[in-house]
Amino acid sequence: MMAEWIDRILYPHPDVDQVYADRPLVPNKVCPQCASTEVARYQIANHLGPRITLTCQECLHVIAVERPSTADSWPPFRAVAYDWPASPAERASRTQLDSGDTPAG
Amino acid sequence: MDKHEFASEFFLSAPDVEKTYGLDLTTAETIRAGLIEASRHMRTTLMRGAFSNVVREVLDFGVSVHNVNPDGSTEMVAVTEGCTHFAFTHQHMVNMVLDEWGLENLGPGDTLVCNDPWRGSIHFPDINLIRPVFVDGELAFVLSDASHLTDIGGPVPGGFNSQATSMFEEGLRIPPTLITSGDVPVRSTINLILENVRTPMHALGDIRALFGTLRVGERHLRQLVDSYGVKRVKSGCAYTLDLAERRMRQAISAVPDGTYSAAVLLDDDGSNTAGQPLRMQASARVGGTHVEIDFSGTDSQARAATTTCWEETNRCLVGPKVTLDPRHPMNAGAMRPFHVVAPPGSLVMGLPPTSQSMHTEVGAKGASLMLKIFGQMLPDRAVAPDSGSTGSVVYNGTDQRHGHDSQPFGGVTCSGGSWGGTPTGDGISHNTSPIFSTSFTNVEYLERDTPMLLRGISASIDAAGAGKFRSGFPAFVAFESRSDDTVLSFLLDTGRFPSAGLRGGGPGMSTYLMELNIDDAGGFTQWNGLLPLDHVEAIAGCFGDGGQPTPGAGWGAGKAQTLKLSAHELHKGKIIVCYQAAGGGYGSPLDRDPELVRRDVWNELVSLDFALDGYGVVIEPGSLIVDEAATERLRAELRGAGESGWAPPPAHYRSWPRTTDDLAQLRARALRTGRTTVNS
Repeated sequence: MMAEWIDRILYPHPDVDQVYADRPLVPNKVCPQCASTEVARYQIANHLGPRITLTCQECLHVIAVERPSTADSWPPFRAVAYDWPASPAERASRTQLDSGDTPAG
Repeated sequence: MDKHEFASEFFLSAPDVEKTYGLDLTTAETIRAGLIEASRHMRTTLMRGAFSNVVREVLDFGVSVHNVNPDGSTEMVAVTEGCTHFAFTHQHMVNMVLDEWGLENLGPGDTLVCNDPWRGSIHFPDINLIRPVFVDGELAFVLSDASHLTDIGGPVPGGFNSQATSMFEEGLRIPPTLITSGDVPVRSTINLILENVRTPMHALGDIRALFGTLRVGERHLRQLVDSYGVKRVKSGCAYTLDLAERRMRQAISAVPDGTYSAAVLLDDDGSNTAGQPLRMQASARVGGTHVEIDFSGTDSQARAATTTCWEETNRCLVGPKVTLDPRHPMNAGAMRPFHVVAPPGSLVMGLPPTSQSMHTEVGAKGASLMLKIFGQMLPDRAVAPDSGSTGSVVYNGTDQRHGHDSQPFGGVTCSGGSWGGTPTGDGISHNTSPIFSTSFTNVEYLERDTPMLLRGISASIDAAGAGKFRSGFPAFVAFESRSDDTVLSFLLDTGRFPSAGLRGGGPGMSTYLMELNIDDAGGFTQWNGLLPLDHVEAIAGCFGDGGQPTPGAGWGAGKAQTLKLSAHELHKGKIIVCYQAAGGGYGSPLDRDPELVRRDVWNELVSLDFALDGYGVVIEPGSLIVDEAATERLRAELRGAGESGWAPPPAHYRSWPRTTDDLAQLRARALRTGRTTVNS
């Protein structure tokens, strides 16, 4: 249901009654455990938060877990300034630490 | 690998611990306990320091200790008792917030604040603080704590706006923001919060308590580091996390591979239009020691406020935690075996700007859903569903009592419903959902600090779901205010669809809201939760003829079309009565020991009528002695009727008194039987 690129700030209300997860299969990918070609790459939350998994749909073997890229649009919300550099005010204490001006903790 | 081959990996011998973690077992266990101890000191500090009743009495807070991994991710190594869901949400929130802020931008004495559900928080009223702990100039640990503020601004005092259609109608949204820098409070952030809430001085007291809590946690963590060295403490963290993971994987290994599914219904979206129910659907697929939980098939996000944004991706793990490994202290290691799929745009992954102000009811029903699913995996541990509702009442206003100068006030009462029957005993009474497990209010404090009066708290007669092991009894709570400027918000569900029983058990009572006038004597008369119907006005729930509370009948027939009411005005002279829903019963009530039924009748928890109709137990009204022969005959007849003939009726009192005279007769009859527990 996701567009290819979206700003991830505001969305329209979904136009479906029930929602199902997308599990697109990865072409030419074979499960190393059961040799199935039903290997899908999709959005999950694991214990660390939002991630993308490559999981065999046949045997549930988890082949890989990676951090989502921008193109994955996952999680659905992302701040506009997510990858902007921090301002001097926001990292004032760190700057002091790096310059040796404060006790190292 | 066959799942049973995992067995050898689950437990490590002392030499294995030393080989794997470089720690002797005693030291590893001491560090594990030391991490938990740090979190317990944080808990005590927050409870003692907080200003709001919702923190210091209701225990709606969370405190936790996190280890920083070499790749910059963090894992929660210790958490202690508070509101349960923080034991899951803080693990995600700390990672999501620090990913965005950047570890490289944090320095000693910095504290970040965030209340955004799209970044792992639960809802806007929860203020979450995150503090890095540096050792020798390196970021080694992170501490987090959270409190529910009694107000967060927005149109509805208290922050629960059930009719909100967007987050813009909820209150203040705080993205990751510095609230201390170098251990000095950031004035602009403090002012931003205090100038946007209705109870600023309570908020300031709570925020300062959160600051102190983090400092206390850091002090105890540093003591641990001073004793063992940072490298060994971090090894102890790895041991702690791996142990929880191994225990959880061992429990999963006992579950047959396969897919387990269930669904639950919520009454409505809170828009007060008697709208369509909302359906949550989930499946859990078990493969080896890995589990994937998928919410596909769940309804799309609600038009009004009954939606969640990220919370269910971690709160759902309360199901496996309480079913598969309930005894071991919680940490992020127990979350490692799980992947959760929550489709964007669904009820459990609402897209901005949806409102999720009534996240509580999605959370409570989500916990019920997970217990249903994980109960299928290990039938011996399955319990009947709990009440599936938060059962909380939020109140705000200005205190117009003499001497209180119309100061703003706010508070929360979590009276809770009840838990379902279990394979070995009756369910717990007056308890909130396992995803919350918050506490009841200290009534004396409440009535001193706010104009609220709790005019009655008791069990509701005939409310428990019948079963071999019945559910607990939910609370009936009567609220009055001594200030005319008082509004209440109700975090309630299970008014339309009672919690079902399990394995032949009966459904529990559903939720009701009613209102009545204070009588000439300055109070009101009730008997075990029963009121004279000609004195009350139905607000919300299912009501039959003459306003009789009746499961499944007349949904929306009250003054309101939903139980998720926000900013409901409570004027002087009125009393609002909230009947919480009950959990379901476990096993056929025809198998319940008649003596246990007699005791419930003697204690005025079960009426003679419900003993007969719900349990097939015949009790002589005057002596309250079980007629054993008649009971056996009746039970045989009911069993003989088979599945199509007899089923346990939904729990509720079937013939409410119409008038005060009727109520007086009920009480008099009770007194004649010699019982001494008549309430008034």
